[in-house]
Amino acid sequence: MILVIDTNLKEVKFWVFKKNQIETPPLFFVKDLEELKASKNLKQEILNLTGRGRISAISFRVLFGGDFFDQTIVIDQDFFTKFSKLTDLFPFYIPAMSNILKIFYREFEDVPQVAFFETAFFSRLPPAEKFYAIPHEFYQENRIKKWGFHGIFHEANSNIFPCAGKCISIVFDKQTTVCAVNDHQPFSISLGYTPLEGVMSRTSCGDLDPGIVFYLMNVHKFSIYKIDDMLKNESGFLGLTGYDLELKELVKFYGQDPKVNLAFEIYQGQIIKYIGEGISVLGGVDNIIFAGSQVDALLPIIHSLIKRISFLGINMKSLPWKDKKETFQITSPESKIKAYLNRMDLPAIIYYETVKFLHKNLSKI
Amino acid sequence: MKDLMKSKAKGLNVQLTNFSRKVEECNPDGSNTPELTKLIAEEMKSLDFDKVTGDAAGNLIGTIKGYENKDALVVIAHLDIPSANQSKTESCLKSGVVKFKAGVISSIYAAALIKRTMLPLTGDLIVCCVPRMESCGFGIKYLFENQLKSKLKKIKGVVLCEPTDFNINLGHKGKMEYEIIVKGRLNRNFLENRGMNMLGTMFPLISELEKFSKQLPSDSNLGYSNLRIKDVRYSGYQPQDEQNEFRVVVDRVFIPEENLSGILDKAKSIAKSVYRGEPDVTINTAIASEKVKTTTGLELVSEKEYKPWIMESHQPFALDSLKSLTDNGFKSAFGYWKKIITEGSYTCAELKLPTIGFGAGSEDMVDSGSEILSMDKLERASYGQALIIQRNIGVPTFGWSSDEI
Amino acid sequence: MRSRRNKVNILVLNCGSSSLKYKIISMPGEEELVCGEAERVGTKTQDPSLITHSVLGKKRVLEVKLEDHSLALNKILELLNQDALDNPAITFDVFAHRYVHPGNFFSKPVRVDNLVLRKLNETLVLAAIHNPIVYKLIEFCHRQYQSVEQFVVFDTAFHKTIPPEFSTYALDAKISKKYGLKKIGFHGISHQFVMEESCRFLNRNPKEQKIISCHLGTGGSSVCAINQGKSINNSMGFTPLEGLIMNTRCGDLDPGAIFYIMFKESFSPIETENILNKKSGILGIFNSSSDLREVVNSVDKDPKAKMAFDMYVRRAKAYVGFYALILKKADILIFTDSLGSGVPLLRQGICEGMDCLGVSLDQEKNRAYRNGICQLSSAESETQILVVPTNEELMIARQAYKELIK
Repeated sequence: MILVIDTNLKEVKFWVFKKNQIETPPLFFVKDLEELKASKNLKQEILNLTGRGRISAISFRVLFGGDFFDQTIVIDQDFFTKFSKLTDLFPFYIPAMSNILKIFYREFEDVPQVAFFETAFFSRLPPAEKFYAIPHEFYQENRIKKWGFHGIFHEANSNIFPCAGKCISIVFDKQTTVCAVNDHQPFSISLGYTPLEGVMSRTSCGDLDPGIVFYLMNVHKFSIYKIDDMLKNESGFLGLTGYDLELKELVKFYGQDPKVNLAFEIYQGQIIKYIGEGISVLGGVDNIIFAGSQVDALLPIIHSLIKRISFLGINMKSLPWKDKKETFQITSPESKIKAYLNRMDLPAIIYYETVKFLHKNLSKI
Repeated sequence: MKDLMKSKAKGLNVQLTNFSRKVEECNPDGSNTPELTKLIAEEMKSLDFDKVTGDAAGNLIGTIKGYENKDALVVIAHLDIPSANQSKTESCLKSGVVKFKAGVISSIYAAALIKRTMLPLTGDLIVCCVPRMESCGFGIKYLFENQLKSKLKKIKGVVLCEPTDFNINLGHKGKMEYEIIVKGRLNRNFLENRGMNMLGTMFPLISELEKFSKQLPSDSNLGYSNLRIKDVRYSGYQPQDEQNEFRVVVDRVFIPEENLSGILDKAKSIAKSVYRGEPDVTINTAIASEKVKTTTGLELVSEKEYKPWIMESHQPFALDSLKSLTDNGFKSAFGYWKKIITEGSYTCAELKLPTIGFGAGSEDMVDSGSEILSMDKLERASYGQALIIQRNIGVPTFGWSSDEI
Repeated sequence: MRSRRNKVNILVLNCGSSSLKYKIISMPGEEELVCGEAERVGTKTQDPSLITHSVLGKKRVLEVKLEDHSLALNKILELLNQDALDNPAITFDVFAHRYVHPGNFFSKPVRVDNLVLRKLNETLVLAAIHNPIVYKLIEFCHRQYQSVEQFVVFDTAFHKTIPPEFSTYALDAKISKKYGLKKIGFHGISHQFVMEESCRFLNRNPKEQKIISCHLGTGGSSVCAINQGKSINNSMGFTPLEGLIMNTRCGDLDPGAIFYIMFKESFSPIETENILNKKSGILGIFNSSSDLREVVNSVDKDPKAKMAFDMYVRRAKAYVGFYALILKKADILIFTDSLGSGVPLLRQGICEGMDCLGVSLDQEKNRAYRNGICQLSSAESETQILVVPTNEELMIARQAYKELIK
């Protein structure tokens, strides 16, 4: 069995995938982070929950890999040395995550542990996309550049079509990201150095004139911390509508409440911006893939998005879109550009990628 | 980040309450004891401080290491409340209030919060519990001359955990005790209209000092300087006796524009003008001193002088600290202590380190000896101190909110 | 007051941060009597300030010391007075100014009076470099030439039609309202001018056209989406910093990067703003120059030049692609201003691979372009690709004239 672990700063989530049970959903449990840290016999506690069977690998979703990690890797001592060097770039994540990984590294010494990075895929972005038009000294080394996000998902999306050519991959999660991929190589990504760039989220603003930051600092004496807090915690759907609701809840008011309508219009405008960017840097598009944990909740939005760009040659099937398969086409067979829904969740993707990874690297481990 | 700090702070509150109870049980009268120091040291260790050490002057130092070795921050709290006004009231903890040591408890838990969030610091966070300034200014001096000496250049600032009503305090007036010593035989004619005893010979000086006390300068933030005659002493009976000596003991509160030698010179010149017709009289002035014994058994002589200090409100350390609070819902402003004396007299006035004060409660409560605080105010003080620490030596994460991770 | 004959001579003043362009245009015939530019005004460069002054096509160049824009204007007025002695036709009846950033105060051209001046004064902070310079000139003219009517034409007015879904930032609505934060858009005078010119050239009605206008200049650059004669989106935002990569401006940038730079380097807001406005963009990447034409010259030999060019093109493509989607393919794609008309390689790069959006450039025509208004699209292109030289001063004169005869 393979253990897939995703963690935030409060709790650690476990998914247990057993080889002969691929069709049934994986076993899932959550542990509080502080309890986990304090646990005297973590290994046994976890084994009690996973049930019988040998753990053949533990895979972690790691949010950030900086310049050091441009692919999936097996965690070893060297990993920790490099990983801690990223502290500067992601202070509230790296030390905390390193701490968690160390616990597992210690407790499950004999099990290969694999780290999947959300940013690794984007190390292959073309330089002209990766960097900002700011003076040299700011973007050399591990400094300011587009790190991107949702790399695990976007890479998997592009792998669904072995010779698919030009893809626009859109992931709807807590963040929404739009990525252009050609021949499994990323060409553009909406999320930049931080999630403040790109598409808005529940509480963050998405694309913003940098001049606004200076206006607020110079004229209205805001501190960078205050502006940062405002942009990431008080903007987005929350700021526009005043409703502190998850997107999947908020979307129910789409078409009813003018504030919600405006928010979703802005949201779609930002997504369209990045689709347009993707199409122009790819020089066209063959497939558009929608994926992520919120994809089902946001079907009306996806429908509306496709409608707006259907003039490109997209023949969309009418709603509701239903299919037994996790990945299926939502355009008719004659459609020039194909659109797909990918309903797989991230742990499942990580599981499949782990199997592939182990197969490829078995001899090395 | 603020969500992260808030949720972790919540998680620490039970421990904070328990510790407050233990502190009170350990020394219900508020004095400083070796047991108390031990209790605090143990608490620091259990809260994962990277290093906990004591020193010969009775200071206790707990360090949270930075991930780099750049700017460090020193947080200072005291181990005892003023001995003169010890509160002997019964325990108030039953109703969720804490009686004293608010500074010690809040500062330790502020540091623990930083440690718990794992938010990296650019340099060391040094929490110092020192014996109180008013009974002994020696502790703080010893601390900076020994343990902290090598780090002096890296210290970005000092936070004093004193009652400020959740404001950022930027200074207070200085305080000193000095004596005017008048010695020698007085002429008969000096005494003509003033009776014949020693007391009479002092009146002219006392009245001149009182007159002078009405012309003292003031500072727009700190208020007026102040002069008070604390005591008069004399030896000998007859004013004409060679061996006669009398002393006027003066309590003097002063602002930064005045200085020590100036104050003593002025006192001397007032006395000289009073006794200008007396060739046989010598006049001297001196700072009062006292003998002190520390909890560690050290005996030393301490001068009764505490310098005034004031931080410019546009100083980045002061501004950033204030913003860290107001950005996070505190209604803080800059303020100044009117009554109490703090370690700023040493850290800011002597060492020129940027120094601020922040804590729960008002200084009146220290002054009246009833240092009683509700538990939630203590938690808030601790949270505020953590915000100040994080803003000044923390490494911020921009763009990502903890909710998204 | 001066009699309202049919003909009115308008002295147009188009003020840049270190330049002052001026023209006397006789309306409504749009005859250009005088044209000139004061360069390097108030700069501390080695080169002296210059005034290039042409009267009815006769050009002369004067080297004069110009410490600020008011002195430059004084000198220009002096020159015009001399010209009037030689040729009485060289006079002006009206002043017309270009004003960059009026915030939310003005959305159409206005006649200057004391009230207008007071309102303009409140907008100075919005564009701390541009607005105060122009404001001083307007105030100067108002004081010195009380009998001459004065109009202000706004660079932002054309964009007032941008719909809320594109003009609203996803910020806290209360904050946006309190501080007036929204997409304002710039280069409106130029975008409007090339829109009118291209439609005239193609003999089409602007009200029926979908247009993408690329104003690519050596100062600022912006792209504008125009639907039925109205601007519906502009790559510049609340300030001219957003959008395309420009000579020395970074264009779109993650605000998180700003915070990081300020934190790491302990820069003040002013210092950081200065870096992003004056040391970034092409200059920041290429280092040797801020002029894309020089970048193009060394694109084959210098990797930094290649990088600067690629980034510039890429960003422009992103906006053209975006606007092509919201317009559902454009009828006309316009390139204008010095880079838009002067760099064939740039047009080629932007149009490359855009066939699926209806844009296809005729390589031959593109290379052969010299000057004037010209069509460069291939026969199969659904979108007409045009180069249209801009003439902001003429547009300012037109708008001022329209306001005058109202």
